[in-house]
Amino acid sequence: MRNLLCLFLVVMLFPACEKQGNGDITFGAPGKTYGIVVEGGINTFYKIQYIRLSEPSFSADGTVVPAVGARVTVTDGGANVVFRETATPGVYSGTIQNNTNYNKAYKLNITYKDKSYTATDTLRQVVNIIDDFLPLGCIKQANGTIKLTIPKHTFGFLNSCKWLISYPEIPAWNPARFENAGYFNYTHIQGSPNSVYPLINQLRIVELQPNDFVSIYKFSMSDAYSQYLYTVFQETDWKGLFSGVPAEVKGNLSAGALGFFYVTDVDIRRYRASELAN
Amino acid sequence: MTLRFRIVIRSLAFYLLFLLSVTVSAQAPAVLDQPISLALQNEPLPAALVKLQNLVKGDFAYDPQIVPAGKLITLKFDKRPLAAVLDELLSGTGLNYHVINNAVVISSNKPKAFTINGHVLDRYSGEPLIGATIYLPDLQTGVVSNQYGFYSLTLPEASYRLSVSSLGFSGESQKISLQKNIVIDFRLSARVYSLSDVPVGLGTADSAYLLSAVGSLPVEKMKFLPYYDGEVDLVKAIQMQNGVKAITEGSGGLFIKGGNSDQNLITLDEAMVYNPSHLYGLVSVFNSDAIKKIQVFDDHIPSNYGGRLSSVIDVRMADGNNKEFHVKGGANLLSMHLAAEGPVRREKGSFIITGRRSLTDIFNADSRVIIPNSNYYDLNAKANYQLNNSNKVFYSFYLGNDRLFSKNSYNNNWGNITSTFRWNHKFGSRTFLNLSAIFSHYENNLDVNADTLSEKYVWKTGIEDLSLKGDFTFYKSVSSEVKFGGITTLHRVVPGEASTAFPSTFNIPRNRAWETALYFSHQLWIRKKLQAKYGLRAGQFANAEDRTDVFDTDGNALKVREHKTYYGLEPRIYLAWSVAADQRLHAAYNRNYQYLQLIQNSELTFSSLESWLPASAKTKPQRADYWSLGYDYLPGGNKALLNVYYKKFYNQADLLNHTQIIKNPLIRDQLRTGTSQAYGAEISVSKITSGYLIEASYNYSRVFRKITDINDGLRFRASYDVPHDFKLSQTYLAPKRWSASAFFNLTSGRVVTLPVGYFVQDGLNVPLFEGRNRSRFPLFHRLDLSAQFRLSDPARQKQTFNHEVSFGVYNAYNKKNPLFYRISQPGEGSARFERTSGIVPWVAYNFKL
Repeated sequence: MRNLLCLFLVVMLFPACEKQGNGDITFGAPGKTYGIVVEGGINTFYKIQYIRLSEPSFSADGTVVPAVGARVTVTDGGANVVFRETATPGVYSGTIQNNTNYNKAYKLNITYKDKSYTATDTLRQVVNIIDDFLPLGCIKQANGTIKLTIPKHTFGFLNSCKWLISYPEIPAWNPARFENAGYFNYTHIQGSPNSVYPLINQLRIVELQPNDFVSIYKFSMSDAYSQYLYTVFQETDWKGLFSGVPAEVKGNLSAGALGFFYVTDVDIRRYRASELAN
Repeated sequence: MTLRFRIVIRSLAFYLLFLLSVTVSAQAPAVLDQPISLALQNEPLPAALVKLQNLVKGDFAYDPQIVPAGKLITLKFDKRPLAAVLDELLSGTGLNYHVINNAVVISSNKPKAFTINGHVLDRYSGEPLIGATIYLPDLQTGVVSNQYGFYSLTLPEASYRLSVSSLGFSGESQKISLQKNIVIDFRLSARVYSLSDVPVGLGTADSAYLLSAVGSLPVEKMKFLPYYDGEVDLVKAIQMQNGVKAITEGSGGLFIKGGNSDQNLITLDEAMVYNPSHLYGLVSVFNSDAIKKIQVFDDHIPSNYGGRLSSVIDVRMADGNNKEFHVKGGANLLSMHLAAEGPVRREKGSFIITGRRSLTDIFNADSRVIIPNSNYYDLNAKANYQLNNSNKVFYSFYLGNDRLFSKNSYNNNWGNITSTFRWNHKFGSRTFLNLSAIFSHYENNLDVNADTLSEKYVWKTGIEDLSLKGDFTFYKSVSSEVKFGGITTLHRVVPGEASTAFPSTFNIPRNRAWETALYFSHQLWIRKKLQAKYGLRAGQFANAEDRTDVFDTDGNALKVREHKTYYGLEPRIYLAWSVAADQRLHAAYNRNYQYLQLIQNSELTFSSLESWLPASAKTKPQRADYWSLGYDYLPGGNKALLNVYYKKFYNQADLLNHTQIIKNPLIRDQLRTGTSQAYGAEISVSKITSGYLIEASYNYSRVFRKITDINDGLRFRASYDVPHDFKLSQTYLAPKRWSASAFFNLTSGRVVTLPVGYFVQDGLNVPLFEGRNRSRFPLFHRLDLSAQFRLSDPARQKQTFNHEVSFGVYNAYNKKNPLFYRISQPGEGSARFERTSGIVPWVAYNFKL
């Protein structure tokens, strides 16, 4: 009996001696060939448009590298506009005169490392910003400041949109500045992907002076872009105990390219912080 | 032929017939009347009959084998009629005689058979004991009490020794002389805190070899196991058994013999429990204060059970003490509980009420889940009354609810309600009927847009059942038992819909389905060595799904339903061969159909959003075929079991990648089906010595799925494919007040879909995935320890207040097992695991008054 007990203790405690780290899990080896990654698209607010190209990383600790030397053109329903690489590696720019062809398709063509990629998206008109349907909460504090609560994701709206809420700490929207994309927030027509999302909702909370200006940008989305962003967020922001089975995020690029080429209509309104609290 | 001639012929025929009958009747008495002179001095009966045979004129026949040799005869007959001689010679031997065709034939009397029936009860509380054994050592056979403690034995008239036993109770032996039908209720005394009756896991028969594909998990043993935060939990106890996988630590998922978690039929007093979880699975809905018996059928599934492919977990509530009032309760770090029980009328009826309420938040903040305001409660109530010797009625009720209230005003509520009314009736002494009327309701409500300025609505999913069920058991003989019956259930299914303020176009269509089954089964022992159980279940499933795409010429939606009916035959066979007194071989085959399935696409098994979809025109029923072979060796209460199995599943459904469950009316179109295969080998050993029980088990099993459009249509590992699973547990009962237990589990890591790379979109690192479940986490292992100290002296049987304190450590060496993997986001550093919580000490207190 004593021997059995000793054996029991050894068997139970031996695995306890293992060193605990972050694990030796590394990315699996890719079986497919991946092309380029596309970010950005066409907006109705500026004539000068920007698209960023990069290559994916196949290492958990690696970095994404810009794709330089690509040939990029956008067809606006009439003209083929050539985008040229800017001073920022991987960012391409071009001027689209016909950037308000509502309900028409815009087509992207890329040639990179002897491979060609295409994508198409349709311009949907944005529903103008209405005071009653702003994706933020606003409370006037006892000390007179205005507290804004801006959730990154909100659900059950009648249409899906992207938003940028800019105030003194947050730069104004600049389509060339892809590094500021983290300031966007999103409203979804879909429901929450799982029942516990609200518990890990990412929020921005800021206190403003009553006379501080808040600029609200609202960006329309096609149905395909809305669905694409929803799956991106399922694999990123919403990854948790209750998230779905991991799966490939599919954009609208051909030939194994990643990302999404979108076309968006923009509405902008400017408020004083005190006006939002009313 | 003239009329006169015909009359003459008829008269002659009549006269001849008359003569013949007179002749025949005259001859019979003549044989038995013949005078016999015979002197016998201490002659054994066989020799006496030989002498008599030589004296009888005419034929005199008998089988020497039936003549008892023990009787010595000293008689003298002097010209006595043969009938009188036979009467005296055969008196008290069980033999009789007849005259057939003028020959005297001696034969055996047809033995008279009588029935012993009654109930096996807890002497202290009057609770009927389920699965108690009533064994006849001289005949090496016996029966097992049913779900209501009832038993029936039909035996030839004779004297017998009966040995009655039940897990956790002292056995009793009684000698009876069976000369008429009798009713005997056996009352057994509980053996408190004694390991020698503590069974050794699932699969233990209540005695060595009677009816055993049933595994039972005694509630008393459950209470010794170490649990998270000291919360005694039925589902967690089942997860500790061999062959059961949990795959996600802390969840309530049960993956048994290759089946998915929605493929277990979980019932509470016969009512279906659709979501048996509180707190997303950390705690089950079963309050151990209310539970009497848990039976798990994961090998042979009797034909009275149906509707699921993998296993049956039949949970029975306690009836309540029908002699005295008692109150018991306690608290641990998760919840507090209170129960009251007592007689409605002493020894005629009783009641029990239990309640439980959570106390605290539990999730680790590192898991990115903070539940600022979550709670659950549940309530069990039951009453029963014995109307007369042949009739008893029961009513059971369960109500449970979980509520999650987060910042931003989001609410998520879900819960179950079950209600069962039952009537037991005995037809004579050999036929038992249970008739049940059952209600079951599950509902989940989720705020979808509570923190927006849009019109608010709630997403609701649920399912409601109304059932009528009748089960007959005919105890034909001690070696033959026949069961038959049927059930019909109306399922009202709400797969998902928004509250009425919202357009209904986003709702998933409702369904109404009738599920009906008739079954028959026969259990018999052949020559005391071979046990056979065979049966057939015949089922029908008729579904009607609302159509939301049918309009009249004015554009008004019409109420139209799409109908579809399915039929299925489910044979069930079990054979067991007793190779020796303590060894047996067994084999089983089941076919099962499942007409309802859970629609989920969660990576882990935590979830409250349980959407059920019935089979329909677009979704075929699931089906499974299961084969197994096993060997059991049970020397002196110890155990060694070996089992191998293979299972094939058909019409297994899975959702396409990234399918939304909320606001997706076309969800059926995003289901894809295919097959699944599972196979495995299980071995478990246990040893009991004085005060110690040690159990070890190892299970090797694989599960693969192949679903159209999932993983490019290629075969992939199921999310519950855990090849190696080793479990070790020990319980120690000190002679006085202490007990301690330990549980260790070492398994292969869970399968996982790891990225092959990532790219950047909108400031986020988006993982690149290929295929499904192609990688595996590192080994999982964990050690849990617990101890109990009885504050009152267990030797003092009559004391009115008993209390004990328990304490322990969950995850004793602080192993941070990976829970899920997520790619890091900008500013978070390298890609990472999210891990379970580490070491969790706990303390609990329980009392009984």
